[in-house]
Amino acid sequence: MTKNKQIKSKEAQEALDSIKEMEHVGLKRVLPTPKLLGAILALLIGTQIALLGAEIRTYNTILIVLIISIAIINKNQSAGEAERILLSKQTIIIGLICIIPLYFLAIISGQYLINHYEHYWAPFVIGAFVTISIWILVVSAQRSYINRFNEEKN
Amino acid sequence: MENSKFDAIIHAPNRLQICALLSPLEQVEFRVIRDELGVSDSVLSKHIKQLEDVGYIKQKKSKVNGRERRWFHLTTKGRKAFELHVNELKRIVSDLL
Repeated sequence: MTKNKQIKSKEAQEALDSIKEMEHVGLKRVLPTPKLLGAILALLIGTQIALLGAEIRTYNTILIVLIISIAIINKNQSAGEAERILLSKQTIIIGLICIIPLYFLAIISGQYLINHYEHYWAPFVIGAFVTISIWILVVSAQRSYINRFNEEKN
Repeated sequence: MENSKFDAIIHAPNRLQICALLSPLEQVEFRVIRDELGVSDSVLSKHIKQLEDVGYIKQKKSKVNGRERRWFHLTTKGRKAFELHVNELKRIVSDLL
């Protein structure tokens, strides 16, 4: 009986070790947005906001194409083979509802500051602020994921 | 209420690994599971079918660049069964201590 129980226990421990290892492998597959892509995306969005704020529309189409391309590359890299939803769908929708007006508000603010106060530097400051904000969000998401990953690993 | 239950379907090494890989994720592509387990397509298909037959996992098909990809996820029933099985394994281990 004791021998049987020992074998069972050893087998159970091995199974638990194997489970932990596979969970670790699974989590490793789904790191959020890579830092470099996050930085490029932040820079492109910031530049677009700055240029639209300054009412320079020449490069708008190119910037939109680049932003969409980077977003697609990012999706393929971070979630091409396995997916983990870190935020609920409801949170994502609420987030988008808040972010989209902010995007237009940033552009309109730049235009307003130029037209009413002749602060020609304003859209570029707003664009830089947006770039830094997106970059901070990407880095925070990475850090929080890595912390959670390490906690689950242990 | 019972919070641990040994599940012979899940306990087979490959199926245990499949469930463990799927458990922290939303969905995983076929080839990822195959590569991580280090088994052939046919062996993996056999194990997946067994898990599908009991309703523990489900598949979703999608086309990427004209190629069909199969994604798998644990169902609610599968997640529950896996959780109960893990609890049972922990209970077996802790009983000896």
